[in-house]
Amino acid sequence: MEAADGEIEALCSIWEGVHVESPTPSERILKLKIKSLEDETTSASVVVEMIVKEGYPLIPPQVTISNPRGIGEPEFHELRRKIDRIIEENSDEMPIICEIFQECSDYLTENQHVNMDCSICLLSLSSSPIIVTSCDHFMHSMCFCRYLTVCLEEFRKEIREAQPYMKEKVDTNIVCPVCRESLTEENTIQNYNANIQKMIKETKQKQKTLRNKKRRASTTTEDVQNTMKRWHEEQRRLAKIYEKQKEKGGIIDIEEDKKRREFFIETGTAVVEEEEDPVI
Amino acid sequence: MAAQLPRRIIKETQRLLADPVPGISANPDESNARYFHVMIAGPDDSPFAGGCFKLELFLPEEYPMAAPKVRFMTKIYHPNIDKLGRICLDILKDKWSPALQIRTVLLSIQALLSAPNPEDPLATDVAEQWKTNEAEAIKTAKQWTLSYAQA
Repeated sequence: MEAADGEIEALCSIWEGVHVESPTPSERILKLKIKSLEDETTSASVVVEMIVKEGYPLIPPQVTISNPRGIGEPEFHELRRKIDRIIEENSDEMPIICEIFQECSDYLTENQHVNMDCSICLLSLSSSPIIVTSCDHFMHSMCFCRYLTVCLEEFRKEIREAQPYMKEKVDTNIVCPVCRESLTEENTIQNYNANIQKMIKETKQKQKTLRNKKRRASTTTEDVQNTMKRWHEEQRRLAKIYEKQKEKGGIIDIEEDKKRREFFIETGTAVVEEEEDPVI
Repeated sequence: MAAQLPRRIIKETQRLLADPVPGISANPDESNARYFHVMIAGPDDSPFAGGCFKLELFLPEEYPMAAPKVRFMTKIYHPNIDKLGRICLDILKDKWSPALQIRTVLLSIQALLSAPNPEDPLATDVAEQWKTNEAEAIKTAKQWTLSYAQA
């Protein structure tokens, strides 16, 4: 394992936080969350895990990359292919551990937030200032603020409506909209409110500097019209099925039951919203 | 009109068409792009296999901060769906998150058809039958599928 250990030592001196395990004398497991070099607070990352066995570099390391954050799915697959290629093309059995880590870092730096959408408004991440949660999920700051505000309103409502002895017990845990990881920790409702205000202010400042940047082409009216046209055909097909089921008594008759229970789906006309900024 | 909808809704709608979920079809209404006509095919491994279930889905004004409203229109014998077609599913209520989409909601409903959960019932009589005599419940569900949910 000499060749490997030498290289691992070098690796650890370059990269901070590499986790090294030796489950057996002839095996090393390396693990590191690699981040892109740009913009430290919102950098993209992946977790790289590498198993190096006796015989390295003749026997290539097994590399797994997981937990892609801040890079798109196609980009993540491309990174995977790049790593595979490095391993494949290493026919002269040169040490490649460091090279693989470096490749991941370079790739993340080049491709972070490319083709990534905000998980809340589904618009391009690069169109507006972003935040990253403690669980490394990315979204627009404004979208996240709006989410916090809605959560806050709900907690307040719940507390207001709770029985006096239950008020303390209302769960005011804010969770990540993507993975439900708790984002609360020591926060109280009062803190959130202050945080939201602060975040909105910062976002507005950042927004100004972003305005000059080129935006990715967005959905056009034409796209929408084309889409709608294709749907009409599908709708006609579904309408036939519906009529057939109705004839056979397979469709629930809400009217009949309405007097006993109050339930109906609101189907008002579409709300017209004119939006320039990606605030849903 | 459609162009003035929030872009998120337009984008979701387009993706639903470009990359449809197997066994699920969702189309916006011609006159109201927030109202979707949905069809879910009964999963093969369930008593609803061979069935074609029509649902309606509506995106409220607060969407995506509030969950879509979804209801079965085709009759279905299922412990978590009542006779008005209302669905008992956590993500449609307190577990809603704005990161969820029409697609994920419909996938969850499809999964609910494969895995009825009589422990968390909405239709108590159906759930009771499901718990005390599962074989009979499954038989009834198959019968309903055959009588009411054919394409």
